[in-house]
Amino acid sequence: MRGLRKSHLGLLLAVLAAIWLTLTSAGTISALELDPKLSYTIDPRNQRVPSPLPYIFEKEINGIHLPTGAFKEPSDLFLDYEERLWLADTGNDRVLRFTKTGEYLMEISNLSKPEGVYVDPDGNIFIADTGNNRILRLDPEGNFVDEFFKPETTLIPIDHTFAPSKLVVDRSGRIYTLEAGSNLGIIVLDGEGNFRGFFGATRLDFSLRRLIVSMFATQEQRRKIFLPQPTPHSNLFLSDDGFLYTVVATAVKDQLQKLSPVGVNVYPHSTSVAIYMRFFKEDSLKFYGEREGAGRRTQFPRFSDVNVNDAGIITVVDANSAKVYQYDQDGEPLLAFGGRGVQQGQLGYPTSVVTDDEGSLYILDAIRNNIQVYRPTLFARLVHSASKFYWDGRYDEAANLWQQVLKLDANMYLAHSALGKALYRQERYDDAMVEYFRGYDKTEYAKAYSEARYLWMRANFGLFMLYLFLGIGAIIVIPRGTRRVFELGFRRGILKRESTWYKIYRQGAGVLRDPMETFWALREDSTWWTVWTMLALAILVRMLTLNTVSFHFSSIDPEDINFVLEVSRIAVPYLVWVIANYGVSAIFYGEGSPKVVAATTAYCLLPYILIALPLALVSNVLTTDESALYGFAQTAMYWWMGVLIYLQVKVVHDFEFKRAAGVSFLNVLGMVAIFGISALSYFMSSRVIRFLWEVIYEVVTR
Amino acid sequence: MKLSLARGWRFAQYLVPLLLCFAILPITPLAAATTADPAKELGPQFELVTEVEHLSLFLNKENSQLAVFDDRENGRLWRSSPILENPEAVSDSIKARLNSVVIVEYTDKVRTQTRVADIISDMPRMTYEPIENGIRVDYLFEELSIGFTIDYRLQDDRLIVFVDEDTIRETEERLLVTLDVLPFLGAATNEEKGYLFVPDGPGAIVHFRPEQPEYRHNFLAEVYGPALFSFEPEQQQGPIPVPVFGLVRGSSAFTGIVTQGDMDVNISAALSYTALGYNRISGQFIFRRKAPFPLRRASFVTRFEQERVEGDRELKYAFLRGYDATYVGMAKVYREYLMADRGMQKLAEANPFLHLRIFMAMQRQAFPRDQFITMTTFDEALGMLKTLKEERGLENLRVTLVGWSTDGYDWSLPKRLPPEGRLGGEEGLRAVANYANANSIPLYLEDNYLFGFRNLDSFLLFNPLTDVIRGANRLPITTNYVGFKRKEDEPHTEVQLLRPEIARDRYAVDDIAKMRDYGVSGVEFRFFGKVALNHYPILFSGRSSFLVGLRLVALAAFALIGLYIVLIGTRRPGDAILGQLVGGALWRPIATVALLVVLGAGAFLEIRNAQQPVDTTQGGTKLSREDFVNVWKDILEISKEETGTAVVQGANAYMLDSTDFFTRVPLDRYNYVFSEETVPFFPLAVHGLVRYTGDESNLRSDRDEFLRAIEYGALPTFELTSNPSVLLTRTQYNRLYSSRFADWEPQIVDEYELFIRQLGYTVNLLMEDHRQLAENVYETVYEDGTRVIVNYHTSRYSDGEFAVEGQNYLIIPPRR
Repeated sequence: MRGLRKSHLGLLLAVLAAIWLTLTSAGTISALELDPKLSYTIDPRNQRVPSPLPYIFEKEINGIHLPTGAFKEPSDLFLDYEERLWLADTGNDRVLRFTKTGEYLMEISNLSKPEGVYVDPDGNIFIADTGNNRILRLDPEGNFVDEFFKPETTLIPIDHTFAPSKLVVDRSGRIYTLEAGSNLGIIVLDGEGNFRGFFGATRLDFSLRRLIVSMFATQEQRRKIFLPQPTPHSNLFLSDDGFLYTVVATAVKDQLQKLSPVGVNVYPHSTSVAIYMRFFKEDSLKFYGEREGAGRRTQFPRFSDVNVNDAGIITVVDANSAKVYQYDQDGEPLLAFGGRGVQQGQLGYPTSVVTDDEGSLYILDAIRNNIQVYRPTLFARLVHSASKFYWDGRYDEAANLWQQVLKLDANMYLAHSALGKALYRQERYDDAMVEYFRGYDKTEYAKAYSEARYLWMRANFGLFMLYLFLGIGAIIVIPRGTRRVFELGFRRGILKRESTWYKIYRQGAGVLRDPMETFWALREDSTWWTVWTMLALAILVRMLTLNTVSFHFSSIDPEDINFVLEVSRIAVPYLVWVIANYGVSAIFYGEGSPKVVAATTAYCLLPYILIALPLALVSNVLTTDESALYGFAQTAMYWWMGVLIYLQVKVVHDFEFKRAAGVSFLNVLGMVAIFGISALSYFMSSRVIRFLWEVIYEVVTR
Repeated sequence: MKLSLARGWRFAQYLVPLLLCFAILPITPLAAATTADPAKELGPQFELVTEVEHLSLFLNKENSQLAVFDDRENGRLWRSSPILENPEAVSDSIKARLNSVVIVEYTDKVRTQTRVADIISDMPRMTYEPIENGIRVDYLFEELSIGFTIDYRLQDDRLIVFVDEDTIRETEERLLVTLDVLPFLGAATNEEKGYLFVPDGPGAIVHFRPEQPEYRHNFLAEVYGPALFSFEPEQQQGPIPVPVFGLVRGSSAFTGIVTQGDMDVNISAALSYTALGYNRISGQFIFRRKAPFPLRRASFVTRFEQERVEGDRELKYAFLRGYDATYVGMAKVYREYLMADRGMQKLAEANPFLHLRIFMAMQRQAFPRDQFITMTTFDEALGMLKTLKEERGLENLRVTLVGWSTDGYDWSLPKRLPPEGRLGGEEGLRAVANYANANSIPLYLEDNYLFGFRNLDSFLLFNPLTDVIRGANRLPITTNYVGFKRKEDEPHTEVQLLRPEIARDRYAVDDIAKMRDYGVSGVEFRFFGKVALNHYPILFSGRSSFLVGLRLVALAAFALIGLYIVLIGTRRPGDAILGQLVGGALWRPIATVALLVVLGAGAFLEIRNAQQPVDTTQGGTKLSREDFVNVWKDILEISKEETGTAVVQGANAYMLDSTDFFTRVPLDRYNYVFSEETVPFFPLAVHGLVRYTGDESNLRSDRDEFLRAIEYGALPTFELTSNPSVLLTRTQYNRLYSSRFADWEPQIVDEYELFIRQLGYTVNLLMEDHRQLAENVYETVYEDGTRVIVNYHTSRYSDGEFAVEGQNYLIIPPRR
C-alpha cells in the first residue's frame, strides 16, 4: 500500500509496544504451598472458589482384618433401611453385608461378578448377578426366592446379552435395571420379571448429519456409517419420593438427571433458555462436574454413582477426577472435595457412594479396595440444612442458616443468592441486590433492581424527570456543542480549518447525515488518519462500554477482560473486511483505492462509536423486562452499520444497486475465505513458529 | 557441662516414665526377647568391635554386617540384617538384598535408568580400619568403580554412621544416585508387635499387621519436601519437617536422626508385604536428583543431574527400651539432640500469646486498572488492637500485618516499600507500631523474599536471566501451583523465584532497616520454614553471539525506521504527530536529537559490553539446599539484628534453632495413605523449646482442628480483616473465606481465655508423654504433671477418675 504514510510506522510501533507491554505484565499471585485439603465450590462462572472442608476422612473399611479378607474391584455399595452396608465385591464374586461401623455380618456367594445390589424396605435382597446374566432375588436371610433372566421382548435385540449391572426396586415392586455399557436406557421389569418397557433413555440432540443419513442411506449403509449413540446411564438411585436419579458416564452434558415417575428429566435441560441466560458465558450445556484440560485433550467427568440424602443433597462421585461433588435439588453445585492422590481425604477410583442418616459419606474405592467413611463438618451440615429449608420454601429460616454459612465461608455464592431471596421477600431490595451481586445471580439481581428502581422512582419522581430532561438535553446539545468547540478553536487560533481533525469531524458528521453524498466526496478526499482515529475511538468505546454496562446486562466481568482480545475483536474484522472489499471489488471493476476503502469502512464504525456507550450507560437503569429495548437499540445500531457498509460498497466503487448487493455478499464470502486461509496457514506455520520460539527460548534461558 | 546435663536428663527421662509405669500402668508389655550373651547368639563370624556404655558393636568382617547389643533390661540385640527363618523360600537376589548393610543405586552416562548394587551380589572389596570406638569400612565396587568409606562407631549411647564426602569415588560411566545404609536394621516380621514411625506432618505411625492394604506397602519421601519441583501439582505432598524415622519392635525401638546431609535424604520405608518380606525403615542419602532436561523440541526427558550433591552424611541411631520404646521416646531423643547438638534451649518464660494476623489489602485483576481492595487500613488495625487490648483486656497479643506492602499482598514484589499509601502509608504504619510498642504488643510484618513478579511496577527490578532460581536443567523455576487454581485448565501464572542472595543483598538489607525505622518489632518470613531449593547458575558459554546479534539487529532496525521518519518520512510536517504537538519548526531537531541519543546510548552499551570480560558469576554460584537455607538464615539474622526478632512460617527442622516463633506449623492429619495414625512427634520434640501456631482458627473446618490445637500444644492464631471477607471472593486471596473481625471477636476472647489464661503456663514446658486413652481420646502430659485430655468422639468419655464430654477437652493441673 503505497499510500501508507511513513509517520504511521511510528504510531504502529507505539501500538505494538503497548500491546507487548500488556502481554508481558501478568500480575497474579501464586503460592508455593499446596493445601491438601482441597475443597471448593464452583461458582456460576464455573470457577473454583475455596471453601472450608465439607467432609473429613474418618476411617476406612477394607475387609483385611475381617473374616472376609480384602475386597477386589468392588463396584457397588448400598445402605439399606436398617442402615446396614451392602457391598458388591465384584472381583471376589460375592455380596457382603456390614454394619455401618464396618463389622462383618454376612456373605452371599455363588455369584459371578455381581455389580449391583439393592435391598427393599422389607429386607428383600436384589442382586445384579452380572456374570450370570440374571437378577437374583433373595429373602432377608439370603435364601433364594427367584431369578430373572433376559426379559422376553422384541425391543431388545436377540443377539443382545442381558448383563444387568445396577438396579433399584420401587414400592410397587418394579425393578429398574441398567446394563453396563448398553444405551437402551433403564429396563423396567415387574415383580415377575416381565418386561415393562424402557425408562428415561438419554436423547440425542438434533444432528443434520443423522437426519441426512436416516433419510437417504440404506439399511446396509447406515450400519457402516458411525453414528453417535445415546450415552448409557452408569448408575441410578431411587429417592423416597419416587424420583429416579441417574448419572450418565460418558456424556458431555446433562450427566445428572432426575427422572420423574413418567421418565422425564425434571432438571433444566441443556436447551433451556433459563440455563442459557445464566451460563451464557459458557456454551449452552447444562454441565455437571468439571472439565479438565483443554482442546482435544479435554477430560470429561465420568460419574460413577449418585446418592441423595434426606435433605435432598445430591452427591455424585466422578471416577475420572476422583472427586466428590454435591448439588442441591435444583442441580446447582454446592460443594466439591477429594481428588486423586495418595493422601487421606483423597480417592483412588470411586465407584459408589451412599450417605447415612448422620450425613456421613461412604465411598467405595475400586483402586484402594476399601470403603472410605467421611464425616460431615459443621460447615457441610449447615449448608445441607440451609439448602433443605430453602427447597422446602422456608426462606426465612433458610436465610438464617445461610447467614451462618456465610460467616464460615463468605465465598459460598449460593448462600448469597439465597440470602438475596430472603431480603427480596422482606422488600429490602437494595440489600437483596448486593447479595445477588455477590451470588452472581444476574436474573434475580435484575428482578430486585426493577423493584428498587420502582421504589426510587416513586420517591424521587421529580429527580427522575430532571434526569430524563438532562439526558434528552445532552443528546441535543452534544452535537452542537462539539461544533461550537471547533469554532471556538478556530476563533482562538488553536485549530485551523484545514486541520485533519476538523476534516474527520466534518466527514464523520456527513456520514451520519448524508452517507451517499459523503462517501462520494470521500473518494476524492480521504486520509489514513480517519482509519486510526475511528479504530482508536471504537476500541476506546469498547473498553468504556465493558466497564459501564450494568451487572445484569454485562457479558464479561472486569477481571476477565483481555485487552488484546477486545482490540482484535474490532480491528481484525475491520481489517479483513477492508482487504476483502478491496480485493473483491477490484475484480468487479470497483473504483475505490485502498485508502478510500479503508477510510470509508472506518466511518462505518461511527454508529457503534456513538451509540454503544450511551446504551451501556442506559443499561444501568434498565431491567430485564426492558431488555427488549436494549436489544432493539443494539440491533438498530448494527443495522445502521450494515446499511452504511452497503452504501459504502455501492458509492465508493460506483456500483449500481444489484451489483453492490452481490459484491457485498461476495465480500462476506471473501472474509470467510480469508479467515479460512489464515487459519490454515496458521496451522501449517505454527509448528515452524513454535520450533523457532523454542530455539529462541532455549538460547535465551540457557 | 553439656554432656553431664544431657546425662542427667537422660536419667530423668528414664526415671519419670518408669515411675509413671508403676504408678499408672501396672502392666506394660515388657515381654521381650531376652538375650543374655550376644556373642553366643551371633556366632563366631561376628567379632566385638567396641563397647561404650550400654551398647556394644559387633561386626562380621565377611560381609560387614553389624549388630548392636543394648544391655539394658535383659538386653536386646539389633542386627543390620534379619535372620531368615525360612531361607529356602527366599530367592537369591532377595536374600542378597536382605543381607546387605549398604544398598547403592547408580546410573550410567545416559542418566535415565538406575540399577542397584548390594554387598552380596556385587561383592565390593571391603577394607577395615579400626577407629576410636568403632570401625571404618571402605567399600569399593570394583566393577562399577564406585567406592566410599563408612565409619560405624558408638558414641554417647548412639550408633553413628558417617559417610565422608572425600572418600566417595565414582567415574563418568557409573554415577551414584542414592545410598541406603543399614536398610534392614531391626527389620521385623509381622509376628512381632510394633510399628514404623515416619515424620509425616506432625508425625505418623503404621502398625505391623497380618495384612495391610496395598497402597500402604511402601513409603518414600524427601525430607523437607522436594528440592526440585515436579510438573504435577498433585504430586506435591505434605511436608516431612524433620529428618527422623523409627521402628518399634515389642518393648524395644530404635530411631534414626539424620544429623549431616539432612537436606538430601529420603525416608524410605516398606512393610513386609513387599517382595523383601520385612517391615523396614531407613534414611536413604540422595546424591543425584531427577530433573526434566529439555530435549530438542518442547519435550523433556527426565534424567538425573550431572553433578553430585556434595557434603558429609551422618546418621545417628538411638536405641530405646521399655516404656520409652514408642514415638514419645523417639521424640525425646530428637529433643535431646536439638538441645545438646543444635544448642536449642528451653524457653525461659512461658510468655503465652494469641497471634493475630491482620490482612490488609489485595489487588484484583480488572480492566483498565486493577482494582485495589482494602480489607483493613492501618487505622482499622489500630482500632482492632485497641478493642482487644482496652475493651477486652487481652494483654498478651502478637500481631502480624499481611498485605501491607506497596500495592497490597505480593503484587509488586520484589518492591515492598513504602507501605501502601491507600492503607495509610508510612504514617499509618508508624501509628500502629507506636501503639503496639507502647502496649508491649510485638508487631510483625509478613514478608516474602522468594517471589518476583514482572509487573509494570516491578518490571525492571530484577533480571529474569540472572536473578532467578534455576533448576538442575538450568531453566528458571516458576512455581507450578498458582494460589488456588480457579479452573482445572488454568495456565500456571509465571512467578519468578528470586535467588536468595539477590533477596538478601538487594532487598532485605535495606528494606528491613527501613521497617525497623517504622517501629515494628520483627518480620514474619513466608516460605522460610517450608521451602528449600537448589540453585544452578545460568551457563554463559562465552558470550552468546545469538543474543548480541539479536540486539544489534533490533538496534539497526530502530535506527533505520527512525532515520526514515526523520529524514524522508515527513516532508509534510503537518502529518507527523510530533509536528502537530510541537509545531512545525521545532519537531525535526528534537526528533533527531532524541534518535541520536538513543542510538548513541545503544552503541555505547554494545561497545562496552563487547569490551568487558564475560561475567560468569552473574547468575550466582551453585547453591545446595543447605547454602540456600543459609542465605535465608542470613536474612533472619538481619531481621534479628535490626528489629530484635524474626518469625518463620513453617517449621522444617533446619530453621528450628534460628528463632523461637513458628507459624503455620503442620498439625493436621492430612497425610500420606501410608500413615495409619497421626502422632504428635513434632510437638513432643519442640514444645517448650519454641512457640508455634497451627492453622488459623477462623478458617477451621471442624471442631476437631480446635481440639487438635489443644492436644498438640499450639498457640491460637487468627487471620482477620476489618471489612467482610466477601470482598476477597473474586481475588486470588479467596482462601480467606471467613475473616471479619466483628464476627470473630467473641471467639478470640474465648480462645484467649482457654489457650492463654488456662493453658498459657504450659508454653515453656516440655511435653512429657502422649498416649491414647481410648479410641479418639488422647492425653498429653507436660513435665510439671499437667494433663490435657481431648475427646474427639461425639460421645462422653469416662474412666472413673475423670470424664470428658464429647468433642471436648479437660485440663488436669498438676497435683501440688
